[in-house]
Amino acid sequence: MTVDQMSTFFALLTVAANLLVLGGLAVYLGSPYNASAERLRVKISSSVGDGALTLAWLVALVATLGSLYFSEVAHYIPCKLCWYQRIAMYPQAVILGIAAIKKDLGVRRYVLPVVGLGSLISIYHYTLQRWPNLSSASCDPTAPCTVTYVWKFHYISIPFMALSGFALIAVILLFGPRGERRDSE
Amino acid sequence: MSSERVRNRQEQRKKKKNPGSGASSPWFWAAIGAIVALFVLAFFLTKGDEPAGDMGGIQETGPVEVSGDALPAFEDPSNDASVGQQAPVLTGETFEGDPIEIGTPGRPTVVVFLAHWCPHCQIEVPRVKTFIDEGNVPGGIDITSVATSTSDTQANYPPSAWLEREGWQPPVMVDEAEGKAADAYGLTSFPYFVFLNSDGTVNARISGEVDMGTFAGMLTALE
Repeated sequence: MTVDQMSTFFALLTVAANLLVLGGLAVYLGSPYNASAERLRVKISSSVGDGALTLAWLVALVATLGSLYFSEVAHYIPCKLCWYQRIAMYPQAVILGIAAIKKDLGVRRYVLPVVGLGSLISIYHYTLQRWPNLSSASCDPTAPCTVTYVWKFHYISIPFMALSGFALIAVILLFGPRGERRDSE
Repeated sequence: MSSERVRNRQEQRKKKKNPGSGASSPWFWAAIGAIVALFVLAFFLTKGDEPAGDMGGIQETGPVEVSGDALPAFEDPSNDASVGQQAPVLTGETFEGDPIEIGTPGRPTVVVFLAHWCPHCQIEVPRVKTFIDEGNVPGGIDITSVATSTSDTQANYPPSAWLEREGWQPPVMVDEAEGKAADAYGLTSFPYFVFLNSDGTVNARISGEVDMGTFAGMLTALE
């Protein structure tokens, strides 16, 4: 697989993540107002069960491996904002993995704030890529955050991939079982 | 406290028997299946793509000879120590391998240093091109450029294809991979402009995106 093919692969995963996030949010946010949305939410939630943790771990793992692919195999140099997003994503691949084994849904209260912070950094980074003049009018010769290494399907860059990963982890965890007392004790 | 732990353990054991959880969940295997399917799809979607940079007879970097003292690193445009200093003469090659020289006294010259991956350079190149195409460069002034900081692992590679796409007319010298020409002219950020008088001395230096009004004013100041 060439770097371009791998970039396309990660971009396709991003599109899939975007569709799942949009669909999931529509069901989740619509459930208090619409009976069928609520039925669907309950159905998905009971079907996913504790497996939500495993799915969220899988997303974090793929995002981490993808990030490492871009830096270690494609040799794209991570900028400062890339590192901040890595700090928010990499530990999830371990924490969610342990939580999945322990079936500890209480991990949500630790994971979701970090995922939220990571998402904000991704949004800021993506904004700088689209409008580079917001940061400065020139490029530092060493890994400026405005550089866009990957651009697929007219909207996907690496920080957008990260944002999609963060958002999917959050949505999956939202669909984890409710009324689980272990996460509130 | 201990009875609570026991209850939790019992709950966990109960959960272990739940066939819909963890790696045994159909959702998990559906996700794995989707990842594999998208991997295969990506392979076929981009199968025929040529690796960037394999353009016959075109070089993206090349040897550069520097004669004369290097200019100090560009820091403060309002107090630039290089103003009045003789710029070093750069001898190198174009994308096609033809010889090219920059900094030789004779005519006032603007040297534009460009990095293919830099978004500000990508914004600035069409601006300068339009400025030139509209005939705004006073007669007798040369505009030349250096493609520097070139790397095939960076975005928008190769620079030759980028500048051709943009219809960039000024001659282009390719810098060495280590940026020998850029270092000799004191480059610290991109895009970077060095304005040379006809005797080869530095008139001014500026970096970053430059509006064409400022650019035109700096051209008229050249001697």
